[in-house]
Amino acid sequence: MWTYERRLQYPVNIRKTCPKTAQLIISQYGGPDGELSASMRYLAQRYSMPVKKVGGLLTDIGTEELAHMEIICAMVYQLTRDLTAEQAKTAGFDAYYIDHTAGLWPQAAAGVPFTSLEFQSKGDAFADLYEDLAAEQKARTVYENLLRVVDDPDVRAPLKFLREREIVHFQRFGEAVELTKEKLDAKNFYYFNPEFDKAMMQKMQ
Amino acid sequence: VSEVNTCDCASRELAMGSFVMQEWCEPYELSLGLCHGTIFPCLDKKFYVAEELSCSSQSSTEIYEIGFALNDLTLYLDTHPDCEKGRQYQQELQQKFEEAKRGCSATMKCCDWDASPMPWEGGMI
Repeated sequence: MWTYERRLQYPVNIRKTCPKTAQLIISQYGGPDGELSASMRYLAQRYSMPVKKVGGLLTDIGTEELAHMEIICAMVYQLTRDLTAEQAKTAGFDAYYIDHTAGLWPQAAAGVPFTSLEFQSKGDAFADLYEDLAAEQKARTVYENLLRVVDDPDVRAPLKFLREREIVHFQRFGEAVELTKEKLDAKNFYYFNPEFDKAMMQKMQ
Repeated sequence: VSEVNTCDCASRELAMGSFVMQEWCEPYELSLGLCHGTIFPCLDKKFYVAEELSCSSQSSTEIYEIGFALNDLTLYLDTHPDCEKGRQYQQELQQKFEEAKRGCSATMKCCDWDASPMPWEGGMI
């Protein structure tokens, strides 16, 4: 169950229309390392996690990623809310404008639509947690790439906030690896899959 | 040439990553936490390209600051459920959050979407 709080996690107030910046930032909505992918990845992986604390962490980070998706969408929206057809034509936003006008649609910067092929839910705690650690690093890289090319401080402040969240989440997923290791035999973490071989897992308790 | 045996293995396991569990560090004050993207100074890893965005005098609404501090603290407590200092801080923040929300609802019509801007237009609560 979820409830909605009527505010963004981090305030977004962008005064200047810039379709070019919107076209770059939209990648963090529907792109390969975007917030929608992140949220769906964690919320999908949590069900079969063998350690309850880790399932809980995936729930809470997956929920925060929804709030990040909302921040990104608010940024794209504010960057294009006063868009004229003339601006769309000159700023490289034209192809998006033809299909979506100034509406929001999850796609990568290069126009590839959002797809669940961008993330994995493997049913193996270590495989999934290492994917999550890598995902946070890749998203950090995207935010750093954006910070290098975007000048508007109204846009940069939320990007900086979102970048730091990737680092915090990386730390938490690292701690989740440690919590999972605690439940297994350090001599061989790979003797069985704790998410699937439940009888073996029970013997460990 | 020294013939010291350099094959001593640490207690870490082969073919498995090891991560340092975070220890409690004194949180930033609320407005700084939101601005930095974490309430924990020990986790605040800056990026040189964005250093010009200073956090000194920016102050946004309390609701954002307390709400975010609670979000960050929730993740910390997910992996540190027994941390006494963390639990105490969570209680303190929850109380502040309720007070701040009460203050807001008194001045804003909390339930009518028409009464304030949408969240993505800068509205809140």
